[in-house]
Amino acid sequence: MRRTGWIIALLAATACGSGVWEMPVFPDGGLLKGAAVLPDPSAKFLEALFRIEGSTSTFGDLVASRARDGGVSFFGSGNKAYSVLRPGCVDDAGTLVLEGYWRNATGGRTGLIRLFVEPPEAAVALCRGEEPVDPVGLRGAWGSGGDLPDQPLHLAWESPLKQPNPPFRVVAHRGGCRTMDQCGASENSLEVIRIAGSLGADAIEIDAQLTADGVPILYHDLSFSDRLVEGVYCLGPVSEFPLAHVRALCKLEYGEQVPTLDDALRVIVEETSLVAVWIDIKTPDAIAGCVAATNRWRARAEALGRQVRFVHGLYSDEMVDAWLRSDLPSDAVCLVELDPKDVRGAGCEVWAPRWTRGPMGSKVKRVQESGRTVAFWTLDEQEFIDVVLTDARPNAICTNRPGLVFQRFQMVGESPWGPNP
Amino acid sequence: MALGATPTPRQTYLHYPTGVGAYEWGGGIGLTLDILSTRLVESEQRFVPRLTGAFRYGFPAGFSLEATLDAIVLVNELRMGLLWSIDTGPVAWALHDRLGLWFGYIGVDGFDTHAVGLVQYPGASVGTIIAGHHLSLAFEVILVHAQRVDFGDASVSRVNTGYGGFSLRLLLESPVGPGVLYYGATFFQASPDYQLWLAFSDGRRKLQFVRFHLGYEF
Repeated sequence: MRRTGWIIALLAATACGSGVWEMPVFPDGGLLKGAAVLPDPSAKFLEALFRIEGSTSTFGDLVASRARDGGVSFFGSGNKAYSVLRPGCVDDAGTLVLEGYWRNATGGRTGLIRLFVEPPEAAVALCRGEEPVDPVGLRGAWGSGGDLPDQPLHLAWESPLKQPNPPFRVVAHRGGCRTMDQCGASENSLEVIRIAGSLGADAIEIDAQLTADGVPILYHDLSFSDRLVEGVYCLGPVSEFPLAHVRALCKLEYGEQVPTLDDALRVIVEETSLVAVWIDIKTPDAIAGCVAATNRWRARAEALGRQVRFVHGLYSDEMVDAWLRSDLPSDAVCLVELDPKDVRGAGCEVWAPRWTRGPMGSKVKRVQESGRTVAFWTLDEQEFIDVVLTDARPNAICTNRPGLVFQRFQMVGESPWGPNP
Repeated sequence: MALGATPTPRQTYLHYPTGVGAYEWGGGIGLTLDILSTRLVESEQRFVPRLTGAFRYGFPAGFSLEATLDAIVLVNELRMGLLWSIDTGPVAWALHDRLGLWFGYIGVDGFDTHAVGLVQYPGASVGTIIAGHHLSLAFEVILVHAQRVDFGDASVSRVNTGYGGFSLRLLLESPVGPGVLYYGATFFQASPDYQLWLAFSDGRRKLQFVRFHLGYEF
């Protein structure tokens, strides 16, 4: 008995809990507390490819930066590290500082970053909303955990970003990241959609299915389980829970509500700069409700002058058949994960092959030349991303590592063969 | 023993540290079942069953040679290794080093993928005999040396040694008739991609799962 007791104790000791990642923040708001907001057009001048001098083992040699929704993010390939910063003008607009956090997407490493724009003349110009004469650089420090940054970091301007035409889109899986990726919000939540742009996404993929009372909600699995939700009475098939019960009984891993599709589309249209949403419809009975929701929010986007593409994902023959049987508006856009012939047969605009079929370069080119777009899913590993970017030249890649795909496109990617916008 | 009688051959044990004597051999067949948690492998509980066959041959001075083949087409692994063991009375000890070549093929809808990899498993085990039942506890480190994936018309290879995690196996071998019934479980804390590379993400956090063993040795 005693002999088996220590074996059980040893097993228990090695089985650590998963926990959730908490974003480190500067104490007392850091230098951004009381800083003036950087004029919107200026953030674009911080978008570039930068060469890292020092600390390359954490961030890699080259990082690509992007400005979205008031923030500036930096994406490296080394350790899949990324940084999400916010800019602010201090010292009577004579200094432009960026503060935020960095994170290793596949590990637990994280910390704070503080960078200053140089030369000082560039910082002054940007804070005035003017284009700087010379390319900008960034100098500052990074730290580990909640410690103040103390390790020097210098980002030297290397080159402007590629501007592919037709464009290449980074599609963030499950709204931004999966719950298991611990990016600070649960998958398929409003919170993760709000941060998707800062994680490197141009567009997002979300999962939709119906509650018992016919409301499309965002949830991936067909059953509620402790993998994604908390709540003693939140277990079992999603289709057996009315929305009111979902609202009352279920909380996502980071404490968020399970959103309705309407909630999610409102956030996409009104609160983000995302250009497309791929709605992976999980069951045939959800097709009509999803299309009705996208119609409402497409009209709202048009009223706001926003260009958002709403794409309905069909992953199986059964879903394609249900789509064809449904009485849908002729302008509803669909995506098929099967073969190009299935895409044509369903009258869809997007072919979304699983990456494990290989890059299929010539087939991808033919599909693109026929006026359809191609989006591979779901690619997370740098070596595979590079092969697909160079051999297939797709229009989009769906990924759990949007920042990595963005950085790799800037390093090795080329414009898709088509279709012309 | 009566003069001229045929000696009864000593029963061999595939997993117990001193389970085979010099120039003895043993073989076995069985099943393993991996149970992977839904927290780590998406929407449904994943059960990965495999057929397994094992062979062990003893040399003098406590050394023995081992070979194991696990197979389910999706992921298969051939392991070969050398083990040195010593009996110290109430317990027996062993050190081992095994090299595993794993290979798999997925040709179902959405996949056109072959994968191979080379993994090393150095480790140690301790065993004791309780009422004729041979109980053993084995610890192994997982070192990943190389992986290659062919996907469609492209391939990606990696060659470098990385720590893939560890495993801890508790196994009981009980004499039944002319052979031995074995059963037990292994706890893994391993990188998602040390094996079954295609089925998991690129996360560096270690995956915790359990493998159950059941088989017969002859």
